[in-house]
Amino acid sequence: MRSASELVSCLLLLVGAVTAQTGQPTHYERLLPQWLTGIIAVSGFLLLTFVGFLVKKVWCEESSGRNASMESVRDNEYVESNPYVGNLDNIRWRTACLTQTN
Amino acid sequence: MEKLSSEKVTINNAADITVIAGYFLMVISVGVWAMFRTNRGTVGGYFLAGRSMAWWSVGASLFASNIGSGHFVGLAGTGAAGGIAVGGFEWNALFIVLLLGWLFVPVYLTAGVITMPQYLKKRFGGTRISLYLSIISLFLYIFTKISVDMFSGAVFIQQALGWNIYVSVIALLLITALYTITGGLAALMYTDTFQTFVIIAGAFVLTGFSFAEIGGYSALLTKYSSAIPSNFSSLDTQRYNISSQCYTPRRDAFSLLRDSTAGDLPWPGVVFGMTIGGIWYWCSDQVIVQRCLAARSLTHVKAGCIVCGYLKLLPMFLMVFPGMISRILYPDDVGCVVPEICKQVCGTEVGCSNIAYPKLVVTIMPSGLRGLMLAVMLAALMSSLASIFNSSSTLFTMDIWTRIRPLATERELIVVGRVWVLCIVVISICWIPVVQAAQSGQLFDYIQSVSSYLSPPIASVFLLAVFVKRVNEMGAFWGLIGGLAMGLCRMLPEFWFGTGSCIFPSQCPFLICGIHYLHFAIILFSCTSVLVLLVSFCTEPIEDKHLYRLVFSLRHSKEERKDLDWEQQERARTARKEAEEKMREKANAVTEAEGDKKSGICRLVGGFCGLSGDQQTQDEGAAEDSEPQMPDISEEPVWKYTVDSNALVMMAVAVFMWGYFA
Repeated sequence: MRSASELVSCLLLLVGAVTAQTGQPTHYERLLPQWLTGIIAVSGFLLLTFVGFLVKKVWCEESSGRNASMESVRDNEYVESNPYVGNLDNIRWRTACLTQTN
Repeated sequence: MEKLSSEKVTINNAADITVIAGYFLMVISVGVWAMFRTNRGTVGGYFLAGRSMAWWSVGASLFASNIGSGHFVGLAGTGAAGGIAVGGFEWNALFIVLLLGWLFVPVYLTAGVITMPQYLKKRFGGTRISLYLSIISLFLYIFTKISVDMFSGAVFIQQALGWNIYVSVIALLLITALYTITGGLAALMYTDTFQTFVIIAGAFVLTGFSFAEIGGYSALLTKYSSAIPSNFSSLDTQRYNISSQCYTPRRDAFSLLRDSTAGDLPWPGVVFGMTIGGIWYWCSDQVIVQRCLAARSLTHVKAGCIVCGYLKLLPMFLMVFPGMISRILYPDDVGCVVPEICKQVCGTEVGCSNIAYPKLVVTIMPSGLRGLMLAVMLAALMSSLASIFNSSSTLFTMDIWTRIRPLATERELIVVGRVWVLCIVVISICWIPVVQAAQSGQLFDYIQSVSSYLSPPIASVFLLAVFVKRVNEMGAFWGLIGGLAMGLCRMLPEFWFGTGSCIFPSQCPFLICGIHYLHFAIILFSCTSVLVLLVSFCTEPIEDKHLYRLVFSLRHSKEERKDLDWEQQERARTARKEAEEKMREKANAVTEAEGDKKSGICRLVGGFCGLSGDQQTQDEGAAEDSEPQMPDISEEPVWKYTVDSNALVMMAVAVFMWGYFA
């Protein structure tokens, strides 16, 4: 992820440096063809998204692991008091976590 | 304003007139159909379209409300003068609109609010923040959005048609006001859908003709750099000299990201400054958010945001490129630099890049299609104005009027909303002389500045309000006031000295006016955020029980929320009930005495405006559940994954476009 953002910032710096040049012909020269910069940008973006997705998945599993143990304790009490309610709270919490991953 | 001497074209042939008449008929019929389709008698029905709009109309309405005639004239004009970087404003919105749909709207929906000041009132408690936001929003609407769109519409009408400006603008405003007042948000959103088609179709046609005229995209790339006017030497060397950079097209005209010190739109400003302005415009402004709140469900909101995002890819190609083509085709008119010549061409000495788009319409389009382009401009102008009218009336009714008269019944609120639209129309008409007096080349700079100097504090407060629980009322209020002070410190001197032009630079000292306005927006945003957080951490926090479903982290919680303004609401509700009781008793007594004397006209007007005779029973029923049932922000997994993956695709397309043109 660091290398991708480094690459992107390098690219931006390059563009900035290129535009600051003087004494060039009327068209300023691009180092890379335009479609290539586009592709590089998209790959960088997809990489970042993938990494972000992984991070979020790991984070959610951590918290859900912690909370699941709390839930099971509460569930036992529930079962004793009202056998018909079941694991509704646990299910609701899990869907909340899933929807929170957005 | 001066008229074009030789190429005065008026819409006087049958084809053009038929097209325009047909357009107006369609708009009015869609508006009338929408009138009968929805219930406009309740606040929810009138201001939020009964929360029943589908994703395609949400997306189209977002696009049409955003794209006004200001975009056609401004994007094309700035594109002619400075190249494609101005299209960054549009392509930046692709990402912001996703922020809106995924992060902000879920919170607004579960909060159950209609207006943004209402949200802040629930979130922070107290009344001063919501009052400040209502007033500054109304101020920004009148002085930035309405004036820009009306000015641009006026430029177009004058250049293309030569009509009397007052007659045309008043007629436009009255037609817009008509379907805004009667139909409410539903009529607006359905007409917006129709107008989006008109805008895109017409703009595509013009773009096609323009590219055909110069010989394709590659011709644009090569010819733009040589679009130099033939007259560029000073006619009065005592007064001024013209340096070559004032009339030569920019060398970085085809790049979005420009040098951070020498560029006219430096890349840090483009990447961050535009984002801040975008957060204010798309995520915290009533006009845009109201359309999302009117959607059927959260999935429809998200899909609508994606549609709007894809549509926002188009303005670069439909408006910026034609502007640049216009400069290539008419360098002596659009690219004029000598003040005396510019005054002859378009009536102002500063520059004539604003006539880029109207000039294309007048010269390139055959008859029949000229009428279509006029319909396009009218569509853009009317859709934006109508949205602004509706939203400002919502703001005024729900936030300012309910403070003046807490006992107002729902019926009264709806009537007040409609009367306010009339007031705004009158204010807009009175604004026309100001628009004419301001030199056209500078009005756009003033508009950009006003937004950049006044909106970053609002964006910062909303962002922090939604995402940081610790932020409280004191922090938000002092952040807003501090931000306003800082913004005024920059804005007032700049207005006083004027922004100047390339030939006559402004006298404003470098310390105040030297920083680019986009960079200033970044600085202002950071300072306000720091101030908000500082003051919030030094004062007591708001307890969680007041914040359920008001912040992003608590948006799914189902606990009972104790509203910070519940006392106020309770008092208002009981007072309103008592007032209604008294009214009903009086009304019963009166009807018993007089029998059914309501004249036919009274009933007709009432039916037209959606206020029927059995309004009171409706009122009772509505008042009981007038707190809207908490809109469900759960989504079906299938649709959620569809919508999320679509958003990813759209972001990838946007990133590719940015990379391609960077």
